[in-house]
Amino acid sequence: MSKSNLRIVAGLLMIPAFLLQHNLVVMAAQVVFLMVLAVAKGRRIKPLPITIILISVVVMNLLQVNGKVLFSIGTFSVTLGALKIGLDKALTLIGMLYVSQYMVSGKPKLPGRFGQLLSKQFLFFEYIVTSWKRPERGRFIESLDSVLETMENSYSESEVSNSIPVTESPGAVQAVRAVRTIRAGTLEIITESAFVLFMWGSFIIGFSGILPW
Amino acid sequence: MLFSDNTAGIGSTGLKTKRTQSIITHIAILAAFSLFLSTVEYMIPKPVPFMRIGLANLPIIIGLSLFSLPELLLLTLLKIVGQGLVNGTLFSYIFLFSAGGSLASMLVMYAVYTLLGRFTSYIGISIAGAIVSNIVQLLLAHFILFGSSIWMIAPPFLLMGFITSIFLGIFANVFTGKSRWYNGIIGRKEEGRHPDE
Amino acid sequence: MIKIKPVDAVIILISAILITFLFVQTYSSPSDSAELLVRVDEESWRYTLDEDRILFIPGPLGDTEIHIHDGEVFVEDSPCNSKICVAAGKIRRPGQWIVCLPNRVFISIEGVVDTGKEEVDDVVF
Repeated sequence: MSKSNLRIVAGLLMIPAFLLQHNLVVMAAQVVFLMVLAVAKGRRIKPLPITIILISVVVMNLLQVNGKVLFSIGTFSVTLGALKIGLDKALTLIGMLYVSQYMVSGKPKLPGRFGQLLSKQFLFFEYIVTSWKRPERGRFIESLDSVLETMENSYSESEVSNSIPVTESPGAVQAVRAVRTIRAGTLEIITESAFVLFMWGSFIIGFSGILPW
Repeated sequence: MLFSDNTAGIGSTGLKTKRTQSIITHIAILAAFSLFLSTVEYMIPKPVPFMRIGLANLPIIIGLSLFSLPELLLLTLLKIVGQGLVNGTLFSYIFLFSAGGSLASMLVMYAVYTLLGRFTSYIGISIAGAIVSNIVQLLLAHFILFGSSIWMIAPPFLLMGFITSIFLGIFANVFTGKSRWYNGIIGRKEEGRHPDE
Repeated sequence: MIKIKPVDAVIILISAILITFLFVQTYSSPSDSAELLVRVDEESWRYTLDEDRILFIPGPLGDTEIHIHDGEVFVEDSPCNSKICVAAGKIRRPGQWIVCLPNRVFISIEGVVDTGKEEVDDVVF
């Protein structure tokens, strides 16, 4: 199994352990764990969007009152049931976001012709990112055209050899080379298994009901 | 067939393969542009995090006149999977929002374009796509994240989509009118249809 | 380049009407979402009425069993002797209430009271 596919498999095995139990303490622990995993694999954590997601999901759910009133702000009551539902949904969203970040961190190569087309898309994407310059006023379409035409021509020239069309930009090469298969070692398989075990271990703790919330 | 990468095309299949190849290339170019536009959109500051301008839908609007429905579907899939890979959301709920909104709006825009294309410019097409995409996303938000409170922010959300889609439509009108690249493809497509010469 | 064709105009019009309607619908009419409020001394519970639920509210005598069903609220069972609250029947409109004095449970529906609809007979003692 390739290194990047190993992460996909590990992630897919972790997801049910996260989604199928609703103990908030365990969910929070799992989210933190998934964040650490994603960061360890070089994905950045942006605190602001996460905070905004957390707050907006919780507040929106608090509007649908449900359960014991914890406290009131004016006419707005914070109820325990609504708070739990809101936190559950927000944690689920954030956790899925990070397990997803972790899963794609190995730049997985999608299989088949769709995967090939996707790599072609990424090559062009890298080319656009590296070659795009702010166009002069009123010449926007012209500069767009020149980028589009360059991509099209560079592709048809190299079509016969089926080689990488735009090799000038180092970023593009990097993007494509990164998806080349690297086989996963035994050590990696053991570590990934440990991660999956952690998720299922916490799942059992959450499911057993020994923790509050 | 659609994904044919047989480059050793000879004889009668040569022409067909070349045509397919160039369509595939156009799909990849537009999909790449969609990815680029979504990173541009990401960098534009927005007051509300869930607010979308929908810049990344522009290549799909442009693609309406260039591709068949399966090809458009492929372009849309590349757009959503590509975004999922770049943003790392491929295996998360965010992906459902992006996939649901993009697929629904593509199908509606395709329907409007093929059924009423003669009587509408890209402005109407773009608005129809944006409204449907927003409604699908609101429904998903209702069931997955926010519950019924989401409908409290539905009106400004739809209004925002309405306004930005008008600008996208205007841009698509201008682009399809002026772009050499686009009109070159359309020209070749027309030639292919009437092989008299 | 901003050539508006007939169907463009129709789509713009339909969307504008839809959005205006949504704005009016959402923000102008006072929210008619009635809420159930249950109080026992200093503690209180709140629930929306749009979801069916069975609640067990702890009072000094034990749990009062309250049902929310099809937007209506009634007491199914109470640990008190008199069972007046069970006999009180169903309430559904803001301003209506049921009380169980022995178990100190006060059940009321809160929201904007629509004076046109309210009849004196609806108030259940």
